[in-house]
Amino acid sequence: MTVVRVVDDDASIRGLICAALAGPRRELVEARDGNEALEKAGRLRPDLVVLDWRLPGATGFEVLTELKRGNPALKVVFVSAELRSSEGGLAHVFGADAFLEKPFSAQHLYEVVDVLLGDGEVDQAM
Amino acid sequence: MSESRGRDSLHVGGLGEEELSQLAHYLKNPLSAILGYSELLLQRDDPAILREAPRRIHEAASGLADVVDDLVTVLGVDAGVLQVVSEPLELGAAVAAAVEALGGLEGRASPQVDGGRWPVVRADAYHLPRILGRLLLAAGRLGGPGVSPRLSVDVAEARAALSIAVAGVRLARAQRQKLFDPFATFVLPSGEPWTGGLQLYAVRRLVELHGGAVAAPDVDGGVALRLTLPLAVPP
Repeated sequence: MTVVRVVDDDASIRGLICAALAGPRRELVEARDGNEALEKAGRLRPDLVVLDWRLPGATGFEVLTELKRGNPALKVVFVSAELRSSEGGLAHVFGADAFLEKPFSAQHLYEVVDVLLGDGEVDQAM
Repeated sequence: MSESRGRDSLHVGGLGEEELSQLAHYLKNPLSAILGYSELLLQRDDPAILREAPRRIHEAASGLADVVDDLVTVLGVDAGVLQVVSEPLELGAAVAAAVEALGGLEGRASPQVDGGRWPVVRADAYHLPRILGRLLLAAGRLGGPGVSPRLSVDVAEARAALSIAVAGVRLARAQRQKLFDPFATFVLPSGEPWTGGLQLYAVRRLVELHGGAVAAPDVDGGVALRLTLPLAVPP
């Protein structure tokens, strides 16, 4: 069983990502801000985090840095609605494994996550 | 038919990187939900998605329609092409209609309206219901599920002031001042993010066209959204 943390302040986006990534071998846990993400990460130790760039109270980078400090092997997928094209490059510099710009394709998201986790859930979903 | 004038740019001067990013957030988040859930509907034969996706798509599309409406309103006011035609309107009837419309929204508690004599104000018959609806929705967001905003009205110096109070939501002065800032975001006491600034900014601009004002004063045990409009017949 792999644990995937979904961090976004928008409930509809959290719901979408969870629906897109759902599978029998995955546990999906939602967090609506950086503090909640860090608190739950400490308890559940996720394998992968889908992290919004813009969060209330903390930037995605701050959350990413803290998460990676506690778990260097953690896989991180950034999603963002921002305009700055440089953020994709910055995300990799700061240790993210993938960057998706909103609005993103649900299929692309679960293919990216499947490659990063290697748990074969794409075949189950399609 | 008149020929439209050509132009080589859409002027959005004054917006910085942070504001444009927040604007992108307002537009792209609901778009993501609409595109993503519709994609899942087309690709997967999953009963849970069949149940959930139509509601999510509808919610996101409604939210996006509101954002577009707010943007068009603000652009229209800025350009001087959106104008109001004020006429005597019964504030109580307009409030009752807006409350009734809000009561039909899933997950929102119906506001409680204090009794009393409602004044007749000068307002635009098209815009006043939108103003009231936006304010009631914002009050609902501030309070969260299960918290009923309380409405009251008072009259002074040729103006009527409608107060939509949300009990139990204590906001710092700086946060109350940011409620009408189109790009401000912060975390509410409920833990939910506040993203209603564009909505309330559009309300503020519309109300100012009426010769009125909006504010977010601290009230006993919470915060209120206060709408002031000129009376049709001064006392």
